[in-house]
Amino acid sequence: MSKLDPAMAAEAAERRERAADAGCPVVHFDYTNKKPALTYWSEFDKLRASGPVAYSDFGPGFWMLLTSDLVREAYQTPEVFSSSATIPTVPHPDWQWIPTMIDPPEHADYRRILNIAFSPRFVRDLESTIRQDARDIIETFVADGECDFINAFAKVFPARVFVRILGLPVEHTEQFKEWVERIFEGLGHFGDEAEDQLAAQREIKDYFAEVFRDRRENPRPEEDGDFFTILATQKLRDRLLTEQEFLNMAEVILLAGLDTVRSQISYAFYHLATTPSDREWIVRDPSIVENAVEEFLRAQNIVMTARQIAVDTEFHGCPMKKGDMVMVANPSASRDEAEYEDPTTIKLDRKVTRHYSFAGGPHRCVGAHLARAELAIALQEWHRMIPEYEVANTDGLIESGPQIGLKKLHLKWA
Amino acid sequence: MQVVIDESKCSGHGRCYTLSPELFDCDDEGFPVVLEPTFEAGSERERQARTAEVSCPERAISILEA
Repeated sequence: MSKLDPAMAAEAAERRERAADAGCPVVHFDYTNKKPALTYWSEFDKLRASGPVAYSDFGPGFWMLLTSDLVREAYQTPEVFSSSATIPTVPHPDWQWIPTMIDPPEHADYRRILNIAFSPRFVRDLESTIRQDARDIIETFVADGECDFINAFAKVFPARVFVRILGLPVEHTEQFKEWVERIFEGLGHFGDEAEDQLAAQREIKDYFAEVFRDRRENPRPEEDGDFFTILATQKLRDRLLTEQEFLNMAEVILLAGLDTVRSQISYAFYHLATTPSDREWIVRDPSIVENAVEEFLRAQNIVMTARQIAVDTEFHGCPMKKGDMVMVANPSASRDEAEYEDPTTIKLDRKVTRHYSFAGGPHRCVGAHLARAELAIALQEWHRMIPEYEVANTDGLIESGPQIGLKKLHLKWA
Repeated sequence: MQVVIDESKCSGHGRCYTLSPELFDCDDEGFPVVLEPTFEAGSERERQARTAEVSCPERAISILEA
């Protein structure tokens, strides 16, 4: 693991002492550690039992908000919990994702463009093509009686949907998958371990710089509804987006749209492959799928995001200082005993499923409507075509963060 | 009875108009629009209002009793 430079190390030591003096449990929560599948959720459950806030001395160090109330309060108070940095171990990011890392009020101008592009209506219109994509992909391996679920389905499906709805060449699907993998491999690391991630981020920018030039010079006709034409020609108040803004927005859409869905689908299928009664339930009654999606999102929340303190504050007894990083632990908050009955059990027909899988406050995931549709369609189409299946691998059932993801999942069926 | 959305908290999760379509619709950006705010106690619409209230991650929905 890379060392912190002396100035950062001194700051980290001061912050750790500040947390310990305030009586905050100090832990070493290294989310880059590879652990057996489902371990991170049980670790969050244990941490939450020791208090609503913890402090982790991993890397430069960060506070951890673990309960539903505190997570919601942080999301709803962006003037204190800024989005200037959103990875817990990276207080000084070399990049600026838009609108992810823009605070209100500027945030709303960027966000409006994306809200319309990813609206529930837009998703509804696309449903049948997304469904066809899911069927086509399953068709490629259904006769084999087995598949490498993550590589053959969980990565391919969201990437295919992504290039289709954004009007990019389908043959670039593989390239997008590769960039996204390299970025999530490095994300949350620091120093030289993050170098390949930064290189991939530069390559993505080069790709979208071409797209930007093309759409500015040859805008597609309005009736095509081409996403990047809209982005390249849309007015932000009284001006066009700059190339840099366009690139930063394109990158965040790519990152947010692919790996999240891959991880979420993998855990849902891992649960169903190991819990025959729930799998049979979905086959017997596909109308349960929409509620099941919410329950998977709640109980298997994958994103450990962060905020950065904008002004010194005493937050529920914790002395947080400007510049401190705070992990907003969605995976913990959505399993909070104060909020849900028997929260660690997956119940497909659970009545109260509100969760923070899509974060909250002004930065609520713009792709939430699309993600929900992708997850529901994947579950429905898969179980129509492959109603019985089981896990075929014993190695590789491991995971790490900051976006919790299964490394390997092989499924087989008769 | 009446259902009220606190617009300063609503961030467009969309649970209300998905789960309670008799009471809410959505606008072009995905934010909810209240179709008909008032309803009778004990009605199907009250049931939908209660569902929306407990399903909102932002706690932006409340029900006012007459």
